[in-house]
Amino acid sequence: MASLENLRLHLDGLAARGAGYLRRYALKNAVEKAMGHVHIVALIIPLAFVAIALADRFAGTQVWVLNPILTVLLALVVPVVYVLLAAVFGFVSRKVSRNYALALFDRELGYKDRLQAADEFLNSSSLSEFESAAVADAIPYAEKATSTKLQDIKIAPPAIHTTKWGHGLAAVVFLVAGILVQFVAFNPGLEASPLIDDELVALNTVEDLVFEEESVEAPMEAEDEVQTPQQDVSTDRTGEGAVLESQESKSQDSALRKANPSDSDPSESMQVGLSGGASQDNKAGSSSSSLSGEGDPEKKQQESKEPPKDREAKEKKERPDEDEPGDESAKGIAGGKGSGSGRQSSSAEMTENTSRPLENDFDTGVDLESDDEEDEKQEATSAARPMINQRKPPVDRQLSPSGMVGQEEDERANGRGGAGARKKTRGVAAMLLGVPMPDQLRSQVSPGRVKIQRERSVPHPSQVASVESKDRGSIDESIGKVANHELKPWMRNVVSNYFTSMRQEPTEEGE
Amino acid sequence: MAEQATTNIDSRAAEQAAHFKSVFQDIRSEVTKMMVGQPTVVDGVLTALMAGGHVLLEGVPGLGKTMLVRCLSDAVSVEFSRIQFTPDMMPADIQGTMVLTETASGAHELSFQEGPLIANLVLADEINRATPKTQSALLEAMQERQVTVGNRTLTLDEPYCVMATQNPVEQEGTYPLPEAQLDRFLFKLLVDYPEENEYYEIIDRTTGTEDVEISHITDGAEIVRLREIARAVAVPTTAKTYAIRLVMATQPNSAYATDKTKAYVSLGSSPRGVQGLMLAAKVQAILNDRYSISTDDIKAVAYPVLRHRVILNFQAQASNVTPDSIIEDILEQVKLPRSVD
Repeated sequence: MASLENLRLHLDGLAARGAGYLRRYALKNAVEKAMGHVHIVALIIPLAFVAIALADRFAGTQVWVLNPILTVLLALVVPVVYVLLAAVFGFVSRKVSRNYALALFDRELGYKDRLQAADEFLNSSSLSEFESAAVADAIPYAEKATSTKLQDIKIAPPAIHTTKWGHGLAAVVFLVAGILVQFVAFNPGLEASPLIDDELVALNTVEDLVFEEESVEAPMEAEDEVQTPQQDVSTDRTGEGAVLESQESKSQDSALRKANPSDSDPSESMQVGLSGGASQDNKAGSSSSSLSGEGDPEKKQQESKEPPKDREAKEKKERPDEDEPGDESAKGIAGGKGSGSGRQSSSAEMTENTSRPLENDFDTGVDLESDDEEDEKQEATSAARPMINQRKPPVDRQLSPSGMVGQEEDERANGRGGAGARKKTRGVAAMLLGVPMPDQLRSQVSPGRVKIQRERSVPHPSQVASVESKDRGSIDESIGKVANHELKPWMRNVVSNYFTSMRQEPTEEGE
Repeated sequence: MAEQATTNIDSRAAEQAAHFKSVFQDIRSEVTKMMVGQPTVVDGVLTALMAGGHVLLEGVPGLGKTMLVRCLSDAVSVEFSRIQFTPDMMPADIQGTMVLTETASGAHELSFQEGPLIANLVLADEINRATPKTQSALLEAMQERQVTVGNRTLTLDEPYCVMATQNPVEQEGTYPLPEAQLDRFLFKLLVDYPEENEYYEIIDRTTGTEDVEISHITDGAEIVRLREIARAVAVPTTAKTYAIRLVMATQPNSAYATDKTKAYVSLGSSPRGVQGLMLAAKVQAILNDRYSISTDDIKAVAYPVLRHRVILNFQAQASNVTPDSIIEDILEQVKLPRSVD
């Protein structure tokens, strides 16, 4: 009886040991399984970081602005937390029964289920002969198992393969990329660098030119139509209004020259540029007022008499962006613009605002249309020179195509106002071909269409000498006498002697 | 007092087990005097005999199937009969029939003439050459241990064991055993060609002048007693669970069916398979000096017990999938009840 109690105690102890061992085994399995996936988990945060940074950068979503250091910490912590959670889950979820625990010893020590069977039979009420024998048989095995130490379960660090290292490297790369993208996205100083500005301006120029070329490519008839408004304008200027306008502009130019003697000073080119632009604006305002007849001559004189410094101050107030001390490139561009406008004022042909930016472009060689548009906007918003005065009402509201003819039609047909006899092309792109312009884009000469030339050849008859069938030889005819290639007797003797001697030589050597 | 009783019981069980094992080994040693090699087949035949089952021996001609059974009958000393199955054989030829006999007084009467089926150890040689009608005459004898002829039912004496042989090669003029009959065999043993070194023994034993004599080791009554000992072996729940899972894994629609079973098996094992596994495993346990069977014992007898109970479908036959490969897959796939995943 004592031996049975001892057996029960041994089995209890073994069950407890086995359960602990199996839990550790489950923990090990869980950790190994988690470590098998941790390299993928490690990629999640960097990938998300990169995706969010890219979304912030390009789509402007502003979903998640995360500190890079916090992101790096998160990328390190998440895999660790994943492994820990997996280990805890694996350890807790493993339910080890008593039978399983004893089966561990049976398996590890090769006891052929003796411990399991004995434990089961011990708990039964009545034992058969063989069940009792099985219980008694298990006693020495249980004692032996109690003193036997199971093989240690070592939770070793997993072997990191090259692919896993690759995942780790990829995670680092993604992190760095995300940080860089985020750094660029939230550092406006990098984006607004002068170099980038210049490049963007150049790119815009090229794009505009390409767009203009595309727009001009359409019908070649547009060339004539483009030149027509200029001619119309010149013809318009031949009238009284044009004479008055030219006189006024000349007087304004002279007044300006007197008021601003430093126009010719090359050392003050920047200021000249600005002042030139200002004078152009003034002229535009004055000319428009003269055309519309709504301007105040006294006011114009006051304006023209204003010293250039005051005008510069006004200009600075109106265009605070261009007067930033560090923005020299902007100044340079403005200076170029000013020189162009000065020329326009001297020619006194600048009556329409639309022609001005074009000439500026051609003079500077750089597309400054955007700057000019800004100037126009500023002029329009300016209280001193409202652009409303320069606007003309839509000429043709009459939609009948046969409403006007001749000069009247040309004058009014500015592209607005519905159907006319001939629709005029408007805009900068349409006027480009009227002015000689150097090619901005290099291209290759098209090889042209592939032409296939077909040549007609007439068959010519030719004479061939024919052979009569009777002249041909018969197939069955004898080929005649053929030389006899049979060997003569002495030749046969020579050959046979040769091969006989060849056969005899090895046997002699063997002997 | 209780411990003393337990000790006595233990010693009795140990004695029985030891006796069982010694008789088993003695019979084996006698049989192997004549039978060279084929230890698996010899052990299988003896295991089936001790477990109370029937054996189907399958192999090409000349491998000693018939000789093995004859040697066994000599060693066991039981009533032995041999039936050479032929296509024109009728059930009455093996079961027996009523014949008209003359009495001592000169009168005539109908008396039952027993057929060769009524014996302790029946060798059904080339059983697949008999027609299904004749083969079916074995069904009752093998399962019920009785033979019914007309209105007469004869109970067969124990031990009763049918050992049938069949040739897997010659299929012309043969009738494959029906599943119902196959299921009645405890073991199906495949007799393979001998090893190279065994040929020397075969030559010396069979072509010399010495006659090998098989001595009687035991008798029928002793075999019956040994069968009772085998049936007394304890069975833990773990072994039962594993045997049940194995048998269910051969059934294509069961929860334990493997992918291979689902693909290639048309009919799985019946509950007779579990019975066979248990009985054969008990013999194995005693032979391995244990009083309770383990899962290893079940694994050891899984092939001969289950291979003729797994009926393959046409796809398996076309793919050359054998029942043994199915069982191998099942043994790999089915987890032990104690297994830790």
